[in-house]
Amino acid sequence: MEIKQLNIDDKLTCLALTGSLDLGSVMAVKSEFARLAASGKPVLLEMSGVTFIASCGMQMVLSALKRMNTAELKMAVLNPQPMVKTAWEIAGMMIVVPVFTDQASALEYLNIK
Amino acid sequence: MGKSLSLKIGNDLNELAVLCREVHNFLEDEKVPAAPVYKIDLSIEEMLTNVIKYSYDDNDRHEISVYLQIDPDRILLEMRDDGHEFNPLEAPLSDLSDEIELRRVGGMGIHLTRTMVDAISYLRDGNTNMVAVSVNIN
Repeated sequence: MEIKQLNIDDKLTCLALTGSLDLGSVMAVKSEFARLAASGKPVLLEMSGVTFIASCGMQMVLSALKRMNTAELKMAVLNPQPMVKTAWEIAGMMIVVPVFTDQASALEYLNIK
Repeated sequence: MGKSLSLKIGNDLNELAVLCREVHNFLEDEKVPAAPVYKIDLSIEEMLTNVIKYSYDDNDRHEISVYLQIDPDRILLEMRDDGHEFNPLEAPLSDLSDEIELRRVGGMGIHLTRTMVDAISYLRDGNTNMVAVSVNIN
């Protein structure tokens, strides 16, 4: 599991996640993820490189969002693989962190002009 | 009978993480397609995380066993533990409308597993919980 910060807009935090968001990797990266997401900006998660996500990975995202929501900031997911998207939908994550397949729509949701 | 794998761990999340990697590598080595591998990986991680976190009151070491069998058309997974009696099929479904603050890790993981696998059953045998999962290969 790897987290890489991308610079696509200075009003946004874009984090590219790659690998497996399983129990072992989440225990290793959740502190770094929380730190990067707590930037005071909307967060876009580029997830095309994520091959697996379990509920612990979703909880890592929800924990970061919970802290962000105190500042009324939004989070969105871009381009998850089909099985990851299916798990995201079944868990009800789309309600709080919607999924987009194009960057422009994701930025519009995040109120990035 | 197809190829099989038997593993045992203690009630320790670090040992579970190692077991999950071993199962994943076994299925990949046997050329199982990605979708059923995902569902088996998810079932083991979600079910056994629940067992380790919530099934024991003491600090003793408890043994958890996993049996995996690859048949031509499906994968059979059996998980056994000696924790409190807990039937995941009777656990309340996760309320997807819950606010973020109310979402529970355990509820979400059980809901994910029950929805994504093709069959799941539970048996209490003496002091042992046994959860069996079946995932179609094609």
